[in-house]
Amino acid sequence: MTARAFLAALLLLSAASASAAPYRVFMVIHRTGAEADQGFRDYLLSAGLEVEFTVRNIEGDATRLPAVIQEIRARPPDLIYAQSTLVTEGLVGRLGEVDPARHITDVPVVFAMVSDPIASGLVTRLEGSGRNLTGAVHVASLPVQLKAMQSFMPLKRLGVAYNPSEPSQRNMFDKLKQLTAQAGIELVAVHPLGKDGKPDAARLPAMMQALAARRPDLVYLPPVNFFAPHSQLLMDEAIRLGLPTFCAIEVQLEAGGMMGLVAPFYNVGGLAGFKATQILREHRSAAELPVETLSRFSFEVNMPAAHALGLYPPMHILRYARLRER
Amino acid sequence: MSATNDGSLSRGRIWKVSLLPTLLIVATLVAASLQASRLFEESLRPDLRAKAETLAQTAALQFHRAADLGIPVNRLGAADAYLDDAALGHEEIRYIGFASPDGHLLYASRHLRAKPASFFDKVLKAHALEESRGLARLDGDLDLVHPVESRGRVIGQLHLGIDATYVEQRLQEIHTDILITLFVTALVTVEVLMALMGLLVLRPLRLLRRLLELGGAGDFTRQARVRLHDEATRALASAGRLVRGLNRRHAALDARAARTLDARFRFGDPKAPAALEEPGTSDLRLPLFVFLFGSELSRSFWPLFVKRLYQPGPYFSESFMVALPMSLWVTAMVVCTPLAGRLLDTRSSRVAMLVGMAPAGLGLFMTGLASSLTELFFWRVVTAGGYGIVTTTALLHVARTSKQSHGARSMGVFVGASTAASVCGTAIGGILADRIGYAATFGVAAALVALAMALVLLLAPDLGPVRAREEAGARPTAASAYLGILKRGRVLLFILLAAMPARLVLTGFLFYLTPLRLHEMGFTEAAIGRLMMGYFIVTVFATPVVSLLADRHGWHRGMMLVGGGLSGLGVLLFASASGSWPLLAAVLLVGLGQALAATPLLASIPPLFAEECAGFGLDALLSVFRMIERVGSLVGPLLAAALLGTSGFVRSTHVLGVGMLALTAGLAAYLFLRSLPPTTPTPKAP
Repeated sequence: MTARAFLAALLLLSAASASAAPYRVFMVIHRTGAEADQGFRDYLLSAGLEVEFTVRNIEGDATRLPAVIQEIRARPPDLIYAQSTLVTEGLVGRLGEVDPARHITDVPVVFAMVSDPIASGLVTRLEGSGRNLTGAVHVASLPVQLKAMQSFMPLKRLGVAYNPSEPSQRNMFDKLKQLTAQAGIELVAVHPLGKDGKPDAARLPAMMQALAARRPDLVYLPPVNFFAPHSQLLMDEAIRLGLPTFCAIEVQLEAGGMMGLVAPFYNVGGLAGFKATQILREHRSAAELPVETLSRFSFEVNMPAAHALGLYPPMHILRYARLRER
Repeated sequence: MSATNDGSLSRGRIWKVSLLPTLLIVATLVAASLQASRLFEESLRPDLRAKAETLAQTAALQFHRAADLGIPVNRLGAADAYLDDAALGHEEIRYIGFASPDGHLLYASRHLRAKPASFFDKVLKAHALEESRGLARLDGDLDLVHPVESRGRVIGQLHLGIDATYVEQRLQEIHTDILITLFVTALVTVEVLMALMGLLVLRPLRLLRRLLELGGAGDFTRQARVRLHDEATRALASAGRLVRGLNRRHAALDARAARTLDARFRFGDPKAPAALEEPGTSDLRLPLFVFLFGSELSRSFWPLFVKRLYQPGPYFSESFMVALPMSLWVTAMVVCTPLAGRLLDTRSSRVAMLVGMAPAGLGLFMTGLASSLTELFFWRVVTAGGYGIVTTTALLHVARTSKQSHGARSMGVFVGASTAASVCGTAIGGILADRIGYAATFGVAAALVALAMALVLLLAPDLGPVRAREEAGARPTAASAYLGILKRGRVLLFILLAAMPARLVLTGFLFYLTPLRLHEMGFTEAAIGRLMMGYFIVTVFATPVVSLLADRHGWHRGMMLVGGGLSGLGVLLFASASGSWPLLAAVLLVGLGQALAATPLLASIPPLFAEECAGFGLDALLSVFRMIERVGSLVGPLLAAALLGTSGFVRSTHVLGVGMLALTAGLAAYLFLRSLPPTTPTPKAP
């Protein structure tokens, strides 16, 4: 896919001609600092498109979305970029709950950083959503991730920390439960929900301790939005408690997670940018463009974490893994 | 030199004449082969160490990398499996181990893990003693040590066990291949020389004698067609000129004188004399040999070839699908057999041979290219159909053209060609498959069939229809005769006990189970071919001796029983043998048993079934025999497949062996009962 994207980029570059008016792209982001946003912007610019970007940051707060939607309505852009599942859901609505009064339907939306658009109820199939929506998935599929974990070590008990208040996370958990049951792995789950059913950052250390008490062989950290700002805390706790972690996204690895099967977010943003270019330049319909994930994920191992835990990658993983030695 | 025995005398001469060039050719080949194997030996030896060094360097890379990353060398995960992988695909590498600098074995590949701990102490001691730059000699193995360093510090040693006998084994294999090639070359040379002698010397001389005999009797109507130019044909040509001259002069005589002459002599038309042709039984020998050689090339690897195309399906097991084409072969062959008779009746043996060879050659070629079992089955049936036509044509041609007195010996043309081809084809096919692959070997087979077609065109004279002799005219009653014979329980019982088991063992055991088992044991195609060739060779050498002994001493029944017993024992031995010599011994035993059992079988029919012979004729009785034998060939692979599918190789071989012994015991009981006074008053040897 990346090769095709690159080829398309080259083609577009060579055919670049300054369009009369710049395209207007509205970027709605969950929080700042995601490399996917940069990858998206860079791709559009390197494709020779003249783009005027408007960026709105909701800082993880879904209640700010209606205001953003109103702003979009007031001056409709050519395309909307949505970072994260939460943002995308707020902008276009889950299938079956779409309300043209509250949701965007007439402007194409390209998402990035949605881990499972089907489970999140955004699309029913990946080969073309059928609605004015497409995008790039940044997480490898669960079976592939589970296989990667098992290639590192034989698993008897797997821990998972997730956020049941996010619908996509509940879906992920159900799927994981099924997969581990099939593989004969015991699944130990923890979450940071308080009595009110809402996630509470203050509960995170206790959550990790509860997990450690069950002595799992490995802890899986799915792409939970709520965890993102607290990644460092989670990873430090894991090391302190002697828990090896398997991360689904790069941010968690950067915070000190021990290993993971990840795609660079910058490239995920680039893939979203490729789709945006197809819509803007080639006038393709977002409804027919497939929702895709990068074809290559890299198995990464954080050597400092490995040293700290005294748990080293087996020889076959040493042969192909990307080893972080920071 | 009487007219009846000159054939055998000249045949003996041909043998003598053929021997010298054959020896010369073989001697030249021996010299060249010796030279080649010495060169091979010189180049193979030093390579082993270099290759092991390279392998050690590659295996060391990940240890370097791990050490560079700060991973303690004794905390590496899955390192045993890593070493297993590294050793995989290198036949000469027995094991790879990784030891800490102080000499503790930390990780080891499978073979080394299986050895007792004391083994590695021996390795270390051997290295301490030797001044051999890291190559220690142990009993049977060489141990190469390769230090692994990281950041200027030795972090461990890789130990590679090199199989010291590897070179010897490879050399031995190559020498065997060379020997087999020599043997086959000798056989082929004799075949070609005999065919050429027959064509260039015997045939013109026989025609010349015939011409003179006719002339002596006053018949000048016939002319021999001369196609070649050498001494013998020149003599024939001058005799022909003489006859033509006589005919011309006769034509020039005035009518009155001619009438007087016509009373004493017969003259022909000088412009279009009737052709003098002597249909020789050996016309087809060389083409037949080359054709069978090509067809037999796939013998040693056929089940393996089929197995490779097998895709697991819901209905049929692998062992069944591998056996199926062998049974299809027999069926298609039998179905096409009548076509050969019809072609021979209406056209000529030449046309019939070509009609059979064309689909057989195409079938072989396409079999090599088959990409699915369906295609393979189809082309196999096409090949078998052609094969059936060719072999039946050859048999009928021999039967119809040979003089009665030479019948048995002429049949030898067919038997000799087919046995020599089985020996050559099986052995060379295995070697070819090993070196150039299955598809290319089928290509060679197809090319040989094409060559056989060219030989038919060049050598076999177009004689027109070869009609069945009058005495075979009792055909219409054949069907009823068959039924009548089959209704006789004792005939059927005898066939089932004596004739069918031999076929079952041949197709089920030798053609089906043997290649599969040997492949499973790690034998190469060439080695499988060599082992299977043993069967045919022992048959070649044992058959004449057995016939002689059986005829001289009348040991027919005893030999059948001993043969059946030996076959059964051979099959049982094969099931439990593991090395190549015991396996070869088992195959030879089976071959010897088959030779012992098969040869006296036919001879023992007339005395045993004198009544039926009188009633239905020996021919009908023999046909029924052949028919039921073929049923055995058809059932053999399927039976073996069914056994293999349900109970694995060793047990199914046991069942076959024990079954063979049981049937032989049954035969013994049957023969004993038959020899009791009420049925045959005086059980005298025939």
